[in-house]
Amino acid sequence: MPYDELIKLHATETLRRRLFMAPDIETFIKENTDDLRPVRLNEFLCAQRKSSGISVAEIVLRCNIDRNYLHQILNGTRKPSRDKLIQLAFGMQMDEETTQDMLKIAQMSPLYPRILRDAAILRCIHDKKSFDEAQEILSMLNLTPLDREETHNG
Amino acid sequence: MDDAYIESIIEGSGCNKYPDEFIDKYETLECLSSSADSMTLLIKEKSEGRLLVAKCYTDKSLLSDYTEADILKNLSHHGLPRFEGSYENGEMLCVVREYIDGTPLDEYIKKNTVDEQKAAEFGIMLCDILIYLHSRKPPVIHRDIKPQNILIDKKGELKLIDFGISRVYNSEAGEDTVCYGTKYFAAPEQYGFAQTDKRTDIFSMGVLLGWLITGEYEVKKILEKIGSQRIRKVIKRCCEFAPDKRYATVEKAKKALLAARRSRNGGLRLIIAASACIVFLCTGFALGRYTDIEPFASPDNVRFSEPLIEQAVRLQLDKAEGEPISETELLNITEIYIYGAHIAEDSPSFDELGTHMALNDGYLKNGGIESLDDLKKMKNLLIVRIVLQDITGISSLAGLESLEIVDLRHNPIEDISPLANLQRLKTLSLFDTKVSDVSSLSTCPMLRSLDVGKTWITSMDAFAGLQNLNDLDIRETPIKSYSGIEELNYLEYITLSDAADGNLKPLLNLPNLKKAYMDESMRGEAEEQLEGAAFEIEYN
Repeated sequence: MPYDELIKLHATETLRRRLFMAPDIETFIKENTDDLRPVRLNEFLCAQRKSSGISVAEIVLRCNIDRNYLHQILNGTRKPSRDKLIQLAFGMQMDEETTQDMLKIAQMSPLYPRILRDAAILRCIHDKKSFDEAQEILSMLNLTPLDREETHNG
Repeated sequence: MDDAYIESIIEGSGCNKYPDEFIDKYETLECLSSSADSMTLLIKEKSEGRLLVAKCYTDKSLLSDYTEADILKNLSHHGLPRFEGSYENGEMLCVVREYIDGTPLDEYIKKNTVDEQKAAEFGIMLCDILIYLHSRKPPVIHRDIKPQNILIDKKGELKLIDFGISRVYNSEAGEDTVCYGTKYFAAPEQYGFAQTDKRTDIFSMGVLLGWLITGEYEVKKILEKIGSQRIRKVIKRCCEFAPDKRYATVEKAKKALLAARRSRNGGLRLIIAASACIVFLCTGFALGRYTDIEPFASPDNVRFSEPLIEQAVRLQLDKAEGEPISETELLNITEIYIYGAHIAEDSPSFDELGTHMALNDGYLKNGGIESLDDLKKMKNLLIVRIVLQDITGISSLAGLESLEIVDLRHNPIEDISPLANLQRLKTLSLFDTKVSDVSSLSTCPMLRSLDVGKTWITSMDAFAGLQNLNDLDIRETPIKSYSGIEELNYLEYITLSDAADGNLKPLLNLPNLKKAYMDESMRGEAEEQLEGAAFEIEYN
């Protein structure tokens, strides 16, 4: 069951077909420039929001994020921290895989199941807990809640 | 939220493996990087809220006599992270150091241009740090100088991190016994030719400088591409194969770099640029670019060692037999499908070939592929399905960081450690291989689906650290007991073909299990022991 399902998800497949249909590589690159460049975080988030059919107002409500801040993230004028992105994952009701993809696109460390805080967040995402429930679980585990300050590389 | 829920999160994360004092004092926040035997974590001091970095070693047997902690605590230099403390128990050693808010050189270079002048400045800063390290008594050799271990902080100053494989020079020792270091940046003696000394770091520094200027890792290519003769000379001397021919000390290398920087001459560059134009024009005429003459074959045409792989590549690139394929074109390959002696274009046609396997109609014959070396340059591969061959070693897959789906069924593979650390690997099929342990995959954070049916795995211990698995196939595997399976607490699907020691009850401890696929022969045991289970059972 997993192979086919995963393969269906690959937009690469579509690109590959276009590659074969194109008369030469140069034309292919020219016609598909948009699909070939790395996905931008804000584009990814907008696409997610669209496909899940959740409005900005709902996201704000679900994950307690500032509305202006959210708009800035979605139009690409603000670079969010890792925690803010995880917060958004709750707001947009992303699954584990989409959350990890989002972190990867944002060039942030993926959620790592061997780190208690990450493990708790992963479990909450997996179990479709709300943002508030996730915050409560972090607090019960005496862990930093999901709105800590931004961090960088190491 | 009930306590059992909280408890299951704590158990699942394995956080009880950290030393008690460490976990009392710090909260782990992020995993910055991980390898098979260590993790680098961003941590927070609980009392003051300070951010710090911890390097946690899970395999203590690999550490040299002097550990990172021993080395760091005796050092004090603005170019080195401050040591904070070290903590250990029977399972783990955690070395805590200052958190440096900076960008690693490999990231820095993606957004900034580094010309020869700038590279020389970085080189001089690195020399200053190395002069300090090498002048300790006894001298400290870093042994792992590479872009990822050098940070540029907010003030533009350079910091050297990661003393994981450093050693204090032992004048009595013959040669280093453990082969460490990162390919290209590691000096030849780090592969066991002789004991490493100061000149080992000088070698790595030379490669680093060359890489900064040219983007190349190989000394030969670096030297070909560098414009400034003086800087080329410095790098060449740093990177000599024999340590005796390199600069004897970092002080001497620094002096040469300072002189090279001073001697940079605009006029000379103009002459080089003009010569380059003439060469390009001449080459253009020679290759027929401005005439009707047929061009020569490009020198970077790829030669394949496995004809079947070549056929599969040609199919993907739509290239006829004999048509040249360049290395750049290999970067367009994202998928390779080979089943026995047949190639396929995509997953559905590959799976169609697979039906012949199930029918056992003699259509599929072993394809005889022994090596995967041809795949090395296909850096954008997402899917590799090469089944029913004679492949034993898979080290060529180690650097293919885009890999998401790997299917190597029916191959005599024993060691799968080259797949460790593949950050995007989601699905792996090793059915009918000689694999007996898969715990090295614990460093693949995205791995969800694993088929290890008909392998040599005998115990659930082989899955240590794979708590993230969602789908596991262990049919026809000589596992003696399913006890311990509860460690895999994210498992939703499992496929089994026999009841091992007759006890199926451990399956009841899998909180997320949705469906178990079982062999018909297991029906009696399953109905007796798994009555009222929250998951569905399908027999076939």
